Amino acid sequence: MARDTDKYWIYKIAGRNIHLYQLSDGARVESLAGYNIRVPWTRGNKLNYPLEAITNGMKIQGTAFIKTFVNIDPNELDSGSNPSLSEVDPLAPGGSYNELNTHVNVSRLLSLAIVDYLKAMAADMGGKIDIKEYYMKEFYKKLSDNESNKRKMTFSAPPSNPYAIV
Amino acid sequence: MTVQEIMERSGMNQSKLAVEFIKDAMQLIGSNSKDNLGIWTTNVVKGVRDYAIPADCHAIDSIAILDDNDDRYKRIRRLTKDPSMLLDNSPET
Repeated sequence: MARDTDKYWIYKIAGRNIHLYQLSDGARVESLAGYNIRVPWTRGNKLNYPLEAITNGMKIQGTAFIKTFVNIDPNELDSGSNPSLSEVDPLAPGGSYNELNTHVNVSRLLSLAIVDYLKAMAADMGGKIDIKEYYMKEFYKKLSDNESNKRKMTFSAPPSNPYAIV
Repeated sequence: MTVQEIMERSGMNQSKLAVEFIKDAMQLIGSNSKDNLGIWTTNVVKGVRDYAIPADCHAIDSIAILDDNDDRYKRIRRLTKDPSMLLDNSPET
């Protein structure tokens, strides 16, 4: 049975793999006069390969690939609820979707960031590195704006005492 | 915003190239922000250290191991350096 997993399990990223270890504190048990006594082991902590099997034991949370191109505007509500999006390929030969009716599955701010990215790539192909760098800076600026918009905080100042003017 | 609108705003008129650049930009957005988090679960196998990172995962946010005692997943710590190894008694080697 796995218990206190937050204390005794450790991972490490190695290339495209996760290395999973189980920590044991290196103590050993000595028997003395019929009593089992736990004594520290001078070698200290020890990392082991997992000592037990756990079904669905590891949960990985991370950034996932999303549907890049979708059939409807992801930023407009559909009769008051979130739109249900289907992935489409704007370049599929003979398909019913093309550049005109295919939407990019991001917010409007991130769509504007993508516009900057395309401008940067166009400048790069033309050998205009300074312009490319300008638009890449704009691209990352919009990305960071998009992130900071999620963490908006309001600051309130406490009322100050009135002071008499003498 | 439609692909057409992005192409018009950026002044790009090659649709195939524009679509590929949009895919690249989406990759960069995915690697730099936590807009779309995914969760994957896998079995922990006794004696096996290596587990593949899911192919559709851009960047790892956290890893948790199921605590049978509490019946919930608990986030575990990450080693940043290789452990100093005295002896590898791995069943895999």
